[in-house]
Amino acid sequence: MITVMGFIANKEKNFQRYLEKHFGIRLPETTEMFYAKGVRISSKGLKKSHINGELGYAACDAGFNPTNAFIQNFGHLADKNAIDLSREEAVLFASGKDLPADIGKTNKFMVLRYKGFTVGLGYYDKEKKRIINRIPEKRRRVIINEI
Amino acid sequence: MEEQEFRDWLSAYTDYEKAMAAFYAQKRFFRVNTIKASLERFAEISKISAKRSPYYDAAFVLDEPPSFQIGKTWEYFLGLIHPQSLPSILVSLVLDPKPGENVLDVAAAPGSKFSHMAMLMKNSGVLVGNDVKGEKISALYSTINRLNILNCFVTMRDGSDLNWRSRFDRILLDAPCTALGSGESASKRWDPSHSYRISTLQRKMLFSAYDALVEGGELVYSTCTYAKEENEAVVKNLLDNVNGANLLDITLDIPHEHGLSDFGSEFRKCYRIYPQHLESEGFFIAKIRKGDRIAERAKDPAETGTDTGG
Repeated sequence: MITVMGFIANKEKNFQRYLEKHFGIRLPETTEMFYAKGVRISSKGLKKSHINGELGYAACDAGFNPTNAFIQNFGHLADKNAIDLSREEAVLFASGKDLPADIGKTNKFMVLRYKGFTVGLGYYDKEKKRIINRIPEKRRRVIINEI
Repeated sequence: MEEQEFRDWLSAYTDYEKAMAAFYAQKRFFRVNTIKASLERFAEISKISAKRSPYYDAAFVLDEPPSFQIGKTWEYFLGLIHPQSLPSILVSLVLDPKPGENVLDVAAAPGSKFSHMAMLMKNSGVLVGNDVKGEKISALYSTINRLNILNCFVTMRDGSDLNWRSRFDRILLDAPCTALGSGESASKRWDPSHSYRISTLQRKMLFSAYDALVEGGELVYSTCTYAKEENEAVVKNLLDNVNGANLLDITLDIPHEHGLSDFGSEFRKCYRIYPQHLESEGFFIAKIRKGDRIAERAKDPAETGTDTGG
């Protein structure tokens, strides 16, 4: 049991370290991170509530790698590995397209932003020189307007 | 049901002509999600043509052509807005959940009222979203993720058998119903026996939800239908069968008709919203408190007959 708990605690800490090192994201004081079939982020106090223990799932499922849901919620806090898109690029990415890019010699997750808002999560593939779209299919949209 | 029959039936409740004319000319509304952007920030960046509702700051009526697809806008994609009818927005305001409270939405999917409650709770406290149907739960998760809701659990229990006793400060039961106030063809498929049948489920769900309330907690029962069998009769059944359930006044200053007083004068506290009231769908809203009626009576000398005259 101790081993399991240690493993779980490490997953949370490792994820937190990864967020800070890779994206420069420090989660707001009002949130907490915990493990429940993956690392999850919630508002503070949710995990300790008397409701916990008998219920299903909590938001936001960050997984072990960053998920698109996590990045869409917290990507605005990133100051590393985040790129600002042009209007055309942002529309393409929101619709689910990959983007051509040549941004280094390492494969890595990226936050893609437009006008200060997070469009979604991408994965830079150095071989293909593309940012692979990680927005789930159901979330993708062909955007018709401008902000 | 044939049109003439439905006309006669609905005329017993409200002005049929006005209701149906407004029903077919409903306006499209959306709510700004202040979890993601303040109203000021939204006004600064959004180019969607819309007017603010006079009844709620965060509600807007869309002023775009019917072909305009709000689900394909940046504002929707980024979670800054959520399309939702005005009465549906107002239901959460009636419940009035506060930051830090324990709140339950018994039939939460797809999450419009649920996400509004998270916004009113400022993304704090504990918000439990329950729904019995697995396929609807995935829609609820999409809403949660898109609108950045972090104070929630999602559960999949039978709403008529929640089995939570005295857990929640506030509960919303937006019950499954015959949808005569919102479904375009609902009246064609409907006959009164549908309302009788579904009211059995509604009664069970209301008992189950009431049981999950803490003492002094508040519950909102709502439907998007007009039939009294699914509305006042369901609430009356609860009031008649539990100790301490009280109907509360709803204090929203919006056009509406009172609940049917055939069920008792206190039913005037309920709101019947017809399409002509808000240029939107029809709704029934009742607010109930779980209070100790016996204790309250004991405090009232006039009712208990206690002589305090000295």
